[in-house]
Amino acid sequence: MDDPGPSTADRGTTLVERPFLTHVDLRLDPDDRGALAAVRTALGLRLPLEPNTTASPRPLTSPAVIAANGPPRIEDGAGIQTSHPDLRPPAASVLHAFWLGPDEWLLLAEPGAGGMLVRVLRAALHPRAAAVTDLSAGATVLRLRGPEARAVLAHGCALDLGPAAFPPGACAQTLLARAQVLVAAIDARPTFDLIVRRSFAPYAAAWLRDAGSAHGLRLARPRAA
Amino acid sequence: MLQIPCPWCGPREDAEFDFGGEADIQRPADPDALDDAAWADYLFMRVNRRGVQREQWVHTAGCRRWFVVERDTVTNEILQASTMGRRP
Repeated sequence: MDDPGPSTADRGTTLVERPFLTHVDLRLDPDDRGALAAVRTALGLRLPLEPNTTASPRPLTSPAVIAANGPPRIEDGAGIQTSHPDLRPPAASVLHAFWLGPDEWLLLAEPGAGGMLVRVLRAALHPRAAAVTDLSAGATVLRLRGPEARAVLAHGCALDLGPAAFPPGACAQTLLARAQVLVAAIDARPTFDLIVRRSFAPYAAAWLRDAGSAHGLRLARPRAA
Repeated sequence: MLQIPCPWCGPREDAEFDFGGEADIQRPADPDALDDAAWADYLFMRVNRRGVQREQWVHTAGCRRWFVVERDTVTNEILQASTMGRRP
């Protein structure tokens, strides 16, 4: 791998956690066109059917979402207070969908959108064979960005993450230094999101700091929620 | 390093996979009709052929799907990989 040289302050490579995002696992039969259409209507989202790709992020502004974000109420069923006004996603909340398997997707959204997404999706998919599970807090997202990002990942990941094989919009579940991660190419700077289970996150972050020490990796502070 | 072609994710290193033994084992249609030996054979006995065999693998660290690999156990050459229940 070619070495673009030492990073400077403005061209540096950074690692930052994107904490507390909403993670929702969605499973349905990809041959069930009605189910795919129901998701498209409910969330304005076309699920990526091509393996190891993502749907481009889109604002959560579908009518079903706006309706679900209506008056705050305690959710029945699961009993989670997801509609508390402090937890409702902002209007600009963005939804990101990742292919996990032929019948499984991960949906990422702003913090606090889990209950609303589960409710909207379950209503849209009822009574089809589908599963919607809020996995928020089960995993976190580490964002690695900058010219040395690929070099850092190459220390512990066997995948070809170069721009030809892994362009923005690609994602892959693989091993990073023996930890299971979902790697997603976000943009061409390049920016990668690493979705790791929370129990692996301290290890993955420590490993990235160590691997990045030879590449001038800086830790950045998460944006205030 | 052995590379295994996942039918969905493409070739990946073998560390991402787990092995599941002989493929194409059919559950007996009427288990009550089997004697203990036949049931034990279905449950436990697996061939481990020298040469090409069809075996189950799961992409544990990837898409977590089971699939069938045709592998030469002598040379480790992988001839085919296909999704479950579908003979190539």
